[in-house]
Amino acid sequence: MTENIKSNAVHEATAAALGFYFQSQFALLKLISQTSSDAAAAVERLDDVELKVDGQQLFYQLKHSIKEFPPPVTLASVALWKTIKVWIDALPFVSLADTTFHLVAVGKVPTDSPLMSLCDLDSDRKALLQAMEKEADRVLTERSDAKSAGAKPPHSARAPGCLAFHALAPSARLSLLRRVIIQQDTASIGEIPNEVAKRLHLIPQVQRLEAAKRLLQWWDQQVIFSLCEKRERVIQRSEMEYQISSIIADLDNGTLVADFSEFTQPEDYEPDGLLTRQIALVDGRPSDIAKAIRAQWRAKEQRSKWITNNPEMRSKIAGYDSVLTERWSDRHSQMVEDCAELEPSQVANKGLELLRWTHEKAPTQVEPISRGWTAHYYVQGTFQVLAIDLRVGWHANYLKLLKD
Amino acid sequence: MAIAHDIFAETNPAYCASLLATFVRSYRIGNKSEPDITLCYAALPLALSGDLTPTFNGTNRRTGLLEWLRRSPVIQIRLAARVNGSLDIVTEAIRFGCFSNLLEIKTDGKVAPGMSLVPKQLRAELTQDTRKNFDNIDRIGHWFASAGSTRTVFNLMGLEL
Repeated sequence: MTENIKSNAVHEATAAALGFYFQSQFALLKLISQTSSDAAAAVERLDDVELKVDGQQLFYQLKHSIKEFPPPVTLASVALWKTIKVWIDALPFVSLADTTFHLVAVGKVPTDSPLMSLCDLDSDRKALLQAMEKEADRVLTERSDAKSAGAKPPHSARAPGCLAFHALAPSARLSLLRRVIIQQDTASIGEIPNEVAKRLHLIPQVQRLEAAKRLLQWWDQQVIFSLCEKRERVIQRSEMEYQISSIIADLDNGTLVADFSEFTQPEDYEPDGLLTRQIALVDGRPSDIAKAIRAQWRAKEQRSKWITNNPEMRSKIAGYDSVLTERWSDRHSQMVEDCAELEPSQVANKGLELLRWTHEKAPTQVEPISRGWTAHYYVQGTFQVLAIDLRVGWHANYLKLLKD
Repeated sequence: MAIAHDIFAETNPAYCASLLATFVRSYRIGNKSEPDITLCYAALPLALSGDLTPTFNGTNRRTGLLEWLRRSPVIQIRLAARVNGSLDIVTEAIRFGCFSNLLEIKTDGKVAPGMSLVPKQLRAELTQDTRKNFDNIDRIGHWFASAGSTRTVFNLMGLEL
């Protein structure tokens, strides 16, 4: 399959797909914006997004757009009347006093539109009611006139909404409108990760966007599971909080910071004697010793810093020590076999090659201690730490030769 | 799992056993009984965590566990992992404490002070940071003691027994 295939214009569903993703992501944005721990959200139930907070139900109809100039929300908008239909259908299932209906649009409401009154929950909606009744009447009249004339009735997309509105008692229409809010000019789908990131106050700023992206991945999966009935329809805020904690844990593990790349050991630093004795066995040059001492000091300081900040790091450090020991062992045992018939000076040379492998190639050939770790000194220096413990060595017979 | 010499030194059992002995004694002052051994597994990682040291600033023995947690919610982030990841360190420390008579494990699973005391001159020989760890675990002992049962302490910290 070639990459740059343009989407099939006939079955183009990008906007619809993005619209659904927007529902999912908007639900997360709303849930994370709540302060109440017992808040919960559901997607595609009675409305696009449903939020329960402190006994109140908030219904959201979302009108997403990826256009550079999103369509405005007007009295003649198909989006408005489709929304009205959805809400009227939901009325039998809700307590109106505990419910608010939100039309969330990326587009704007024209400033001279009567719909502007819906942008403020406390405003009077009687003028709007009259305007909407007039619009519904116009739509229905034009449809019946066309029908009588034998023509195709217009406004078919808006008709169900107008009919449902018309069928409501006048007092019920006003009661419904009093519970309606329009949120205009809202964030579009591409901006949601940043909006979520802004709400992750507990996480250091540099990690917030990454955490938001991971949270959104988890959230999308939960929404899909809820639609497939693989989990409960409603997603609790407490579940989201637990997930945020896990993400923080992952980020902590994944972003170890290299603190000592730019430091060298103090002039009077004296390494353990075994470090130099191991190198002497393979006739290491002064440059080999100098590199080993510098790396060992950096790795030792790094390990100390990690563990004094968090004792949990002990098991991670020890686990990685075992990885390095195993990688060394694979090479050392092979070298021992190769050295069986060699002269002592050649054996030493082979050992020097192994030592130099720890400096030059191991940092890129062995998997890093954590995702994204790139500082070479940790692998180089940890091999020296392990050499001091005689868990690794450079000479084929280092254990025998260093036996005191 | 084999522990390299430098890591062993950072978490050496003698030092950690001395911290636990301090914890047990301060707990006993506040509670009139000894702490369950499980509390040692929460107290020691908290005291050893250098990144949590600033959260003890402005606290004293009377601050209380709940208030400490309320002031610094960051303590609870990954607390379970911190505690679980330190099990070996605490076990080694308890074992060393029992061998050196700093601690004594009772038949009911409580940890009591042993016959030996943490040497008084020890404090003078410690670095400022290490001394602070002893002050911190002393506070933790008081806070745990006044918080109620072991289960309550764990619940307050969002941990499960």
